[in-house]
Amino acid sequence: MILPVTTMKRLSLALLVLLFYLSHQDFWHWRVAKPIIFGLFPIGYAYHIVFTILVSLVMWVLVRAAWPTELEEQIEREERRGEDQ
Amino acid sequence: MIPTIVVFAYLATVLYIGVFAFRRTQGERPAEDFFLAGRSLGPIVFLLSLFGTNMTAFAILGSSGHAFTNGIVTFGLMASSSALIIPLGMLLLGTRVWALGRRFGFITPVQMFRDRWECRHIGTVIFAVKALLLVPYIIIGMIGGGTAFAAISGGRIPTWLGAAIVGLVVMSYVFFGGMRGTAWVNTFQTSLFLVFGAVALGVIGYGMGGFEKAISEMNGSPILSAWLTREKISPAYFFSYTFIPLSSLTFPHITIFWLTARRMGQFRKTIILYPLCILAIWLPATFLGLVANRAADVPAIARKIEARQTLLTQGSTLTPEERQELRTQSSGDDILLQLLQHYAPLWLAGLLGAGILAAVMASDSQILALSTMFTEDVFAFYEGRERFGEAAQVLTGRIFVVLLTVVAYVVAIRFPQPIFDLAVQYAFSGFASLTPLMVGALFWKGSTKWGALATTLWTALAVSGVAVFQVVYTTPQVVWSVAGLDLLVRTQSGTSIAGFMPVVPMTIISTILMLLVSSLTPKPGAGTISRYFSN
Repeated sequence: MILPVTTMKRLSLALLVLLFYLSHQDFWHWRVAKPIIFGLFPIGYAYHIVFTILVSLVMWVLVRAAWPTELEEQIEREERRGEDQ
Repeated sequence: MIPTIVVFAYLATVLYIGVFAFRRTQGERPAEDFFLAGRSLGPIVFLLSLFGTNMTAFAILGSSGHAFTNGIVTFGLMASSSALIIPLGMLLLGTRVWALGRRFGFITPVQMFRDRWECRHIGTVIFAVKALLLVPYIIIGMIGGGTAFAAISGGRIPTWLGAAIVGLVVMSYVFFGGMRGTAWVNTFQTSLFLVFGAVALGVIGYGMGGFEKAISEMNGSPILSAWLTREKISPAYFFSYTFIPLSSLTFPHITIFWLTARRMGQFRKTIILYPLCILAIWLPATFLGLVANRAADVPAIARKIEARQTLLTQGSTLTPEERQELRTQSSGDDILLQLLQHYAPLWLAGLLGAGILAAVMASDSQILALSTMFTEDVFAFYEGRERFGEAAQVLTGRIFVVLLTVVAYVVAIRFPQPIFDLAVQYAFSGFASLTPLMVGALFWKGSTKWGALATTLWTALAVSGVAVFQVVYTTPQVVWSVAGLDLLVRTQSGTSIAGFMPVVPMTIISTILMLLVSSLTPKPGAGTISRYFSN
């Protein structure tokens, strides 16, 4: 079965978010402090700092790929119509 | 004395901003202007103010206190999960709420629910539950303000007076400036804290002889090395916490704030930059809380460590009153301020303290949101506006701001409790459990007012249940166990249900109720459905 492009895109983006949500539960670092990155951040800490930075990139991807453009344009059209009247 | 003077100068500045915003008020639509700043906030104010609205005493003082007690786990618990869930929610829910507000003129979420589900008094029930859940959040701001003031002034200004001063200043600029004043003050406060947070990190690090040394010493200590791992918290508890940021999507002050954007496009940068803002605030706050465990040369911190150790080793033999006393003594809510006082020069401690106070004072948005909801969802809905006019509605909102501040202050003074616990257990869990309301209204044609009512009543019942349970069972113990599985446990700081925080079953049951009850009850009319799902 070949899925339409929009469905494929939505599915990929949902999977990306799910992957990030699951990777937040990094149980594999639970009881270890080492390595201590830059001598400051134990691995369980450094992991979540990098995670937070990567989330910003994920949001950039989502804003580009899943922005509700139709809704935005519709509101703008309605407001323009309201101003004309 | 100098830090106190600097903090007073800061409060005067904040007050001036609020009064200046009052002078910018436009007269055509006074209610929309007072409550939503005329839906006209620009991109920078929108980002910084929305972020500042979320950065409360809980984020700054609570997180550093939690890191002081629990170690590195704090950052993953709240910061990184919030970095994912809050901007994602803004993209999925925020943009849609904004569009509906623009199209139908909504000012509050309850107005949207009433229209979407064709209900009247069920909307009032939703208002009442949301209002009751928001009050603890406002109280957090009061307690945080009092704690901050007491620490900055070296105890010269007692907590009750500090809370009163902060409450009075917040009340004044919300009273005069409304949403515009609140947004401008929040923007100023967030900028201040972003700058001073970095400075505080540098100054304290230098004073402690370098953070590398502190971390290395902690790693070498048989007791403190646990703070560099997450072994003090279970993975199930950690997972539970990812439900907590859902509350940021249903908090009335956040939903109402979404409506203030001039254009939908302003959400774009906010969504992308939000995780980085979280990093910029939470990283210094949690890191300083963590390394404070090596600052035993600060007398106040040494006393906290000692109280914590006594609680840990002799807790089961103490009376409830003694345990509570030790808990209060070991609370790390003022840990940042103690570090600043000890390591920073006086004038800088004042500036940095003002920066912390800035974050703590985010209760302004909640006070304004409750006032907005009261005037729109109760006063205007029950024909107050038609009978007395729009000017009377704004006046009612202002009077409500005063009353609410006074009530929150009295409660804050009578029931001091560590900031973090109070916030998470009541306000955050309750609002997270209300998420199905927002998702159902925006994405599910089949959702009904009865589903919404079931979800709301369940949330109220569950939050009350947890509160009563914790009053009845004050000491850590297993209350209900089946086949070796501890189903209900009173923990040191709250309640655990099968190893999870109450927010997990609360939200899951809430979702099931929305699905089940909605599927069994009549749907709104086709006209309403088509207005909401025309896309």
